[in-house]
Amino acid sequence: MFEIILVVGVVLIAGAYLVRETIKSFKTGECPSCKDCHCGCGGCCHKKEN
Amino acid sequence: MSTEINIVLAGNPNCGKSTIFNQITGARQHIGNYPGVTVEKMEGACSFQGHKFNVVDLPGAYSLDAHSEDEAAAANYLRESIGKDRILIDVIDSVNFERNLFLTLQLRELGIPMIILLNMTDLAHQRGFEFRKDEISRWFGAPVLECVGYTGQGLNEVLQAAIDLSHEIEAGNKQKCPNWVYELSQNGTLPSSLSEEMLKEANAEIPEEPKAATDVQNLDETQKASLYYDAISRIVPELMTFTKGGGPAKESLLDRVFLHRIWGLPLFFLMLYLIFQLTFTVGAYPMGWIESGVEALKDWIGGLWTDGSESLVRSLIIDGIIGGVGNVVVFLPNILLLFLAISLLEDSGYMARAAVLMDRFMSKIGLHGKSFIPMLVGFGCSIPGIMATRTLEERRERLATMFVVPLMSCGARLPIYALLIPAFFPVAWQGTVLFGVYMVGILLAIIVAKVLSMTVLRGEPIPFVMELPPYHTPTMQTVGLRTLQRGWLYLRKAGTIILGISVILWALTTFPRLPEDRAAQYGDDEGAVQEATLEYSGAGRLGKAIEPVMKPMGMDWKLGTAFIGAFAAKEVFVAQMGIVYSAGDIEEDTSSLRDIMAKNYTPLQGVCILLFALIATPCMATFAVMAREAGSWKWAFAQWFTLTAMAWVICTIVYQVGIHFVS
Repeated sequence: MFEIILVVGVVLIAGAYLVRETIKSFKTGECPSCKDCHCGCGGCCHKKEN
Repeated sequence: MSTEINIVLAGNPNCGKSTIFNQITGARQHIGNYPGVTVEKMEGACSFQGHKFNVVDLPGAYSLDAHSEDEAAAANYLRESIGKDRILIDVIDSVNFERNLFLTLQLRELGIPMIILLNMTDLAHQRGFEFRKDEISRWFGAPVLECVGYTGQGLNEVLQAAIDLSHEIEAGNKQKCPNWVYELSQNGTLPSSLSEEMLKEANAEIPEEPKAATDVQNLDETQKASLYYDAISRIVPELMTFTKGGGPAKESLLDRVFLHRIWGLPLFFLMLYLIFQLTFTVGAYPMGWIESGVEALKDWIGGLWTDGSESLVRSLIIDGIIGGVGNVVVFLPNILLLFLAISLLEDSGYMARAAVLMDRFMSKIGLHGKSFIPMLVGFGCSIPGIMATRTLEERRERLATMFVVPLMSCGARLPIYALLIPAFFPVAWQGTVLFGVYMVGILLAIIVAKVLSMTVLRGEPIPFVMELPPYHTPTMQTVGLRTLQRGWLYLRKAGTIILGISVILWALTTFPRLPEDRAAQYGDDEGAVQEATLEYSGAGRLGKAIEPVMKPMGMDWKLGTAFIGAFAAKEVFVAQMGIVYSAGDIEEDTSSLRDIMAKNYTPLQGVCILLFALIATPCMATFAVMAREAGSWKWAFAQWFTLTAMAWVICTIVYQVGIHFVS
């Protein structure tokens, strides 16, 4: 029983994460794999943390 | 005294703004030696001498009279900066000093506090150029500094100059647009009185008589530009000298080879071919190590349960997570090698020449060479490739280029190729096959663009003018950092999106479970039970539903579900095949997914899978960006449908004809 609850929980979390990323991707046009990148793969533009 | 200073970097394309931005802020903005890499403003921050700097890097612009979206973005931001608390740094490519002064003149007219930064002065000095910084400063009313952006030399002085200028402004000593600039913009004259005032200390000769006053506001853009360039050419001798003669610049010697009318293009394709060979031959070793590591991890984790255990958690971890993500991570060395090679070519300045070489072909299909630049960017990822089309001035060219960018095989497809090519082709052929896949993509892009330009996007291409950046030795630090960063992005994607999808696909492949009475029908035949279990699952039912569409291409339902998952991210194809065959794998001696693919599919089917992966619809992120950049979901759907239909037709033809010739 515990196993089923654990597995279902993991699947639901994964599903929710993917839905969130998909909606965000469609809304902002951001590539979900590099959230801040607009200029080139391998180039992330972000504010340097002080 | 303010401790926060806002800086804006502006200048011509390719003058080194992004390099300077990266050096100052430590950010990792992508550098490409061709226009179109920066198509939006980029923001970063840094600290220096107790001050915080907010730095904005604008897209390159030759003029504030914008001809493309990225130039418009730069021009709008600069006009909005008038009267605001910002310091403008006009980055000038010292090698093309005179041409860069056109924008400098326009920027000076805006009246924004400004620093003139002569970049790439190492290259300029090699050519014998010497700059009279004091004279430039007096003519333009702004401090002038020199730097070498890619080494960082001179950049501390730039930040100090910005601090000093900021203090001056706060003390009430604001910079003003020099009077002669104002006179030029209003009347089209170089007023002799101002020249006398400017030059009397230097005791230089007074320039020739100013022209008759001209109503500059009524001139068209070309006439106004002509007026400005004429003024610039008259003052440039005051601003710089040429100290030594020399042989032909290094660029012209190298360009005689790389831009050769006959051999230039074959040389470019040869370089691509060698890169692909390198990817496979050198990459095979670390791939093998990672594969062994993944298998060892599976065995270790599997050992935590008793043999034959039907634990769901065990299945999730081994078949789902490791089976999915592990099979994607295996291809990291190929990704690193490919991007290392492409970065070297970009950083050296060679890639821009490729666009020039392609112009001859592009014009025949209704585009021009500048359209090849977003396509080159698309070899990394379609998303920045589509965004790089903002540099194209005509909307129809922009749409046509955006439409075909996904046919430039992106980095996310490389794991699919790296899985299938070694499975079906001998080592000696692997680089050639990969090269062939990329060439098919380019060829199809040309054909689709031609069809579009003859039908829905008709029009004449405008002349191609592009600045060739200087050659320079690739900086290993920059290239290495960019390659490692690409690898990190790949691993991050594997650990987030692909992990999430692998869990979902595992669940679809596992549930619903085959009822015991149905399993009993197969007796002791474990293989048949496994097969029936897979077909009974959610993924199996989905796959069976679309199998009639996949069959003409020689594909089964397992490949169908993998391609559905690949819409989320292309690498998921590999993950899904790993999950499906991990769940159905009963042979203990099968060591890799490549071996499994070779066992279950023929080389002809392998070719069809390669073609479908190349041509079919891009990932969902590309779909979303296409809709945004085209300004309409209609174009995104049209692209999705066209590419998928084209993939289906081509693969069906290849398979149906091929089965008569090969097994």
